[in-house]
Amino acid sequence: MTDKNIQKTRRKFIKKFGAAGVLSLIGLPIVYKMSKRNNIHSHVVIIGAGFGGATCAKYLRKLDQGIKVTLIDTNPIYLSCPFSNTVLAGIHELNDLTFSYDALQDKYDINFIHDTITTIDHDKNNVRLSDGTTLNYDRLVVSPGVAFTWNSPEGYDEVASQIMPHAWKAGAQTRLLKDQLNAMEDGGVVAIAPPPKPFRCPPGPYERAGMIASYLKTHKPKSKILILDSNEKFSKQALFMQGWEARYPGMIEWIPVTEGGSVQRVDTKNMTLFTDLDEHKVDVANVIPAQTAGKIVLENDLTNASGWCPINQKTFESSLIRNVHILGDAALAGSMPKSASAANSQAKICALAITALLQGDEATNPSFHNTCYSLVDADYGISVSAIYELKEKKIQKVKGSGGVSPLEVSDNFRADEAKYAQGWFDSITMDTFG
Amino acid sequence: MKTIIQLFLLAVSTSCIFPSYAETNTKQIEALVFNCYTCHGTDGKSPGEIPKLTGLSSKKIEEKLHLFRLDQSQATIMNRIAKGYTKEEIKAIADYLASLK
Repeated sequence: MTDKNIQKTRRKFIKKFGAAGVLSLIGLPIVYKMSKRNNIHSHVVIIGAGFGGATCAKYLRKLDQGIKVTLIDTNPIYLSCPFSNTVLAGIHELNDLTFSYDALQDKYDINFIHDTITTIDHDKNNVRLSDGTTLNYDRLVVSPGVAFTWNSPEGYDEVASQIMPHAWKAGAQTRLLKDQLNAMEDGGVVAIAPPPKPFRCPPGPYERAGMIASYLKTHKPKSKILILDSNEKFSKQALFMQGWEARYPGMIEWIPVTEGGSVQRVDTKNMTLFTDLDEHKVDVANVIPAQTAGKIVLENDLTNASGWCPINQKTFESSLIRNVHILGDAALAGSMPKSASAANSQAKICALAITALLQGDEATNPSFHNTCYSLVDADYGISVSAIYELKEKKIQKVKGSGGVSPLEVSDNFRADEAKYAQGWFDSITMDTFG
Repeated sequence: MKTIIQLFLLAVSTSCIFPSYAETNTKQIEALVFNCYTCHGTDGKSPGEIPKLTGLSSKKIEEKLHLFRLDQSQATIMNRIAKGYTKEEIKAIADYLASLK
């Protein structure tokens, strides 16, 4: 039997009987059943330094200075996906959305490593980096975000994304889409094709429509935006549609899946999108592919058949592998959306849970929050918000809490929410990276 | 000396089967209060347009949240959020925030 096969067999065994079975079988003490121990010298390794991972690192150190925290990411700086639609409207530059890990290292003494993980060894509780280093952990946190399912729609792969940008991870893709909008002639057609749910940032494609419209209205007013949707409804729908009508009458057309809107195939050569019923030749195509949990969790037995990670919704520990916690977009976190705000909230609860679990205590009863602002125009904001609790082992909205902005309000109310959207961005990035 | 204290604390902590009430309680309140920090900044020190939560008395915070909860004061979003907490939770959140430096 090769090492790889042994590992595979072991993993299967663990899946069936849990790590405790393996440990007791080979005569090792079952560490996690030990009585309370001091957190001094406990090591938490965190893979993925976005809104989930970075927040978890900061709060672990804030809560317990005895815990050593190593934060690992393939990027040396962070480029925020939230607010990246504002780049398309010309409100912000990508530079305004860039954050360093300096404060986390200097103020919180977090060990930040810019590298890629090659393997996670669940049996030995360690991870291996591409430079060959092995790091042992007491608890591992993985906050990997999403991975794209290429060829969904058909013909849409990484090469196609250079012609029809998804811009669903901020950076070069955002710039490419912005450049294409800048180069487009007045009177052109811009298509936005949202994937079937679930996907990262549910209101994102519709905020994007408004942000692109905001640019076109001033610079190319004869142009049109076509939303070819793989869904039959969307987040904050009534509010978005009301806003589009108020600010961009006749400019944005939405075709839901029920009216044949779902893009099945793309032809990058002819800039054509094929739906169930029709074909649309467009000038700029923003195709957002279907999504799963990030690659690292897909490749390390942390996802189930859905492509996402099942977890204990109180502690965020994986239901499949012990001592590994999953946060943010990748996690099946009850009724919470896949948003930066949700990841930030989950990260703090996970940090509280880990400090308790490392001491042999029971995790505290969690409370969660999510607020997502969307801009319809630079001075027109709308929001959705809720408080969540754990009920029957599932994260559920607290009854009576939350909801979307009211429909019938003054222009001032929308202007205030646009102002608070910026305030939200300033605060959440401070809470995560500052 | 530090090591002796640490050993002593370790001995004390391992002798307890249950964590102290105070410790559990603080963590329980932090689970609620940390929700505020997403929009109001860590420890309520908002750097931007959203109001800071620092320098307010417990009574003032509690009163405000109650008014939002009962729709007797109109905010853009806080009415929707305040309805997610019980009276007791609001009191605990207010006390915690007011105690921060």
